[in-house]
Amino acid sequence: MKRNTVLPVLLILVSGLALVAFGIYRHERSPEGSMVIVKSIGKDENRVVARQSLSSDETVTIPVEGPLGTTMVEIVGDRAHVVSSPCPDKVCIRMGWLRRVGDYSACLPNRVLVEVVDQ
Amino acid sequence: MKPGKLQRQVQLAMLTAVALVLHVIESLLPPLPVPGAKIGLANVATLITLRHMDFWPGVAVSAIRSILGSIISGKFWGLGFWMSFAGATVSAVAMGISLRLSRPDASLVWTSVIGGIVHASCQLIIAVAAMRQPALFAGAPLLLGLSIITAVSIGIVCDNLDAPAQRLMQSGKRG
Repeated sequence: MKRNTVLPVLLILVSGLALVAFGIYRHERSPEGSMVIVKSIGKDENRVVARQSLSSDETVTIPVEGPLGTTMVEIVGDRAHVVSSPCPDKVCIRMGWLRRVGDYSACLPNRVLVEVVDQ
Repeated sequence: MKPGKLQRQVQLAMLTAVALVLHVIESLLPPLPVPGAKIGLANVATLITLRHMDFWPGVAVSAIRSILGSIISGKFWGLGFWMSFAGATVSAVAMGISLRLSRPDASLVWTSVIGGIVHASCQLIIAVAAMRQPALFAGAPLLLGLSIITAVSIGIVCDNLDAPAQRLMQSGKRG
């Protein structure tokens, strides 16, 4: 790399890091959600499969039928996650625990959307 | 057949193969914690093709790579395929245009960053459209920031590949 490109490259790298830091900061500050909504993504509109309060202490498992099979969503106390899914890439499971407002996990192949909202 | 045309075809096939291998290697690596964010290894081949061959070969390498890559990984024709295909093709077009506009000796880091930003925005827009969930745009800063960081790294890699790529393009011309 030439001398005169090092500084601009560093600058843009720093701006990238700043964006990442901003994203994480905003996520950390968002309040905890009170309800989780499980949706099935339809062709024309999303169908709500289940609404579950995030305040109880019990563990609830919600099965969602999709084109590939059944996606299992588990709600444990004040957080939720996707436990199992028939999709090939498992992005939905990798998204981990959802507890803050705006947290979501989506399985596009099996057309399932889990999101945390405040009510 | 014009002299040199066969050579170009072979070079193009090799670059597509390299792109495909990088694509498969990347799909084997543990994914980044943020869905949609990718290292973009296969972009190395696209950038090299764009710089050392031409606009359309670069776009073609990128498009064919994402089609074959998703067939290999068994995701063909799903939404994931369309996200990957649209992201790869649109970002290749954007990078090609930016290379046309910049000086021929400019660093590939800029081109790579433009490609990364276009790729991330494209994926995000398709995901939001597919899920009808504009709230997903909240994740945009994180996604864009990560793609800028990975794009800078890929651009630096490509800058250092200039000499070997030149040798590949020139090899055989003397014979």
